[in-house]
Amino acid sequence: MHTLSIIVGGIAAATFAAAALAQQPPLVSEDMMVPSDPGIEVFVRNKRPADMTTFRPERTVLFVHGSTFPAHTGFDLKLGGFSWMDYIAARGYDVYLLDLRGFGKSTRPKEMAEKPDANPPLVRGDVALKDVDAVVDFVRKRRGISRLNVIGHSWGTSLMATYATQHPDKVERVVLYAAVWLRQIPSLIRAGAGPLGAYREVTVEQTRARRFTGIPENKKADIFPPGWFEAWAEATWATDPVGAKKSPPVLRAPNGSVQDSLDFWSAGKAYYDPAKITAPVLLVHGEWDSDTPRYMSQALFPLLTNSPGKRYVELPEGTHVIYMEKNRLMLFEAAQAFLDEAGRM
Amino acid sequence: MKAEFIAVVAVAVAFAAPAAAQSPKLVMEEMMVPSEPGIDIYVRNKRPADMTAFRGERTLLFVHGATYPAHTAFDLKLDGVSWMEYIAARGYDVYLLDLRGYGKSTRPKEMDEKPEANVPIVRGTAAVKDISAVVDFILKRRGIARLNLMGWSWGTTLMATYTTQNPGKVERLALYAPAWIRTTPSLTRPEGPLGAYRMVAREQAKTRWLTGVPQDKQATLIPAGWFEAWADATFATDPVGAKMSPPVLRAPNGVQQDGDEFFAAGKPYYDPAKITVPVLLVHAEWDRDTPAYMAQTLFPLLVNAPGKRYVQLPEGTHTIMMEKNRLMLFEAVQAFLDESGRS
Repeated sequence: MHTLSIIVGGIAAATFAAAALAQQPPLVSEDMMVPSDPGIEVFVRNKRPADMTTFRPERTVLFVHGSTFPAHTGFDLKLGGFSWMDYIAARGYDVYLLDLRGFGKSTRPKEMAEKPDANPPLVRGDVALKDVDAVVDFVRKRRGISRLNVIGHSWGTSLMATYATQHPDKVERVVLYAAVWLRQIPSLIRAGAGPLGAYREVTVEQTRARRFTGIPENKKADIFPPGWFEAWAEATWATDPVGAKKSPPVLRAPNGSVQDSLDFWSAGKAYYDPAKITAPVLLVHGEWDSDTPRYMSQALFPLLTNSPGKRYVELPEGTHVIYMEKNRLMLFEAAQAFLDEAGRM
Repeated sequence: MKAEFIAVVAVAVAFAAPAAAQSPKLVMEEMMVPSEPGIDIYVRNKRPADMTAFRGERTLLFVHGATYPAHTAFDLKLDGVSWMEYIAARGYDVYLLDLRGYGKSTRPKEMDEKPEANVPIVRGTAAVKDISAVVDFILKRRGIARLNLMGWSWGTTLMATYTTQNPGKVERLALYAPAWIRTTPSLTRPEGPLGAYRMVAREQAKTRWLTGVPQDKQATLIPAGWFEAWADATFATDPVGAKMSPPVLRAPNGVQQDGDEFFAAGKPYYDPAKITVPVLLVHAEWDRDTPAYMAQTLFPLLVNAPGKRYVQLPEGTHTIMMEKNRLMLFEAVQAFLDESGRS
């Protein structure tokens, strides 16, 4: 663990007023780099109401992304004028996101400069958890709080749930959006046979095809309001300047999560023990999600035997990325209602 | 059914119910609404005393399940407030009904005979007639076109079926502990051929209630006195059964016959695709009467229900409405009902 002075020295704080949401308080946004392992710096963004002066565990949130795409271009993508991050912050929360190493604006391990097959899969769960822990400790220290709420999406649910089993004292509530659990049908990500390389290369068109898997034919046309998918893709592929120079442009994504998935979820082995989570857990999921089909949430829910006040909410007409689809407000409301519960106790 | 006739027959008993803590004063009315000839349906209404305007999206009708009446559960005061009062206090005109053969409604004459003297009574088709009569009564009474419906257990089958038949009269549909195709044994199906009705004893009720609850959680599931409050009120609704030893509650077996012919036979009782209003499925994890797989199978079949939602609650059974976590149920349903006020 790094000392606080190093962490604080590493911060590049860029404070500015974000465009206010309609009828919402002005928000402040800060971007910073938080040291994790030596040579690895993790990109962290914070948004909060500009007039926020007191910080409480139950009003603090940290979000982490899934296997392929960084957090800041999804969780903080403005659609219809505001991002999910803005939505939570505007309700009186101190909200953070992080890009894991190898993703988005965080340090890319040097193996990503080599060919994929030159190295084994990069950024496995245990490594990713170091980044999460570094950021959790950074936020705790910065705000003088002992715990915070965590939100994970997809692979991020494995990470945040595992983190909650390892550090029950640092976690207030756990939101698992599109939870991963034992896999019974093939993954949409793991394509092709043979050993996995250090990372994979993903194109926009591949991703568009993946996005529409599982949506009934007559509903495909209006799942994304006009321009939303393109806005996300543009922001996301721009995060990989090396991949952007290829034709077609690609996004490089570390394969550690895919290797973990093969070794655990696809092998019938749990990555973590749900009974060890003692914080309230929300499982929230869209019905057309073919990346993490609902059988995963439904198998996981009863195993959370020590999570007080756990909840499982299934949402209509949405996929793995319902947070950037027409029904995204249903997701935001379900997560918000769950987070807000803590303030009442 | 002529509305004037209904209005004349309705016996309104208005009085102020004790207000829920920090809630507006509520008014209660009880009435008998004619369904088929010779069948009067018990209806209770609670609403804020100062309510003067009535809107479909702020009106709710509740119906019970296979065995017990509505008024001793939905309007049972626990910690000073019933679920019915919880909803009414939030600005709703709330109704419940006991189906024929249950609670304070007319008992079909077959219930005076021995169970084996007749075939199962009060099948779904008869029950839906009672619901239909009460819906029309409320719509007429309040001058509204639609209302919200909520069913519990068998009541979900009835309310969902009613909605497929009368989409124009339904605003939103809340299904608490929904029944669907059954792949595990029923907890309420008696052995052998079905008589007109079955007789349930108090101890059976308790055993069934706690089925599926982990041993170490059973002691704290139902706060002290709550089971007794419910059982006292419920078993008191059957004066004939009360004289038996041990006392029993007689419950019509139509629902069991329907179960044999539909859900337990792998056949849907209604077509979920015909429901075109928003639907909430809400369910607690230890429910072994209508296990989670039922709601989970039903949810994707509601292909034309806009804004449908499925919420699974922790540490509760089929009867979570009268358990320590009942507020989680109330809040989930309330959030769903309140949505329509915004749209």
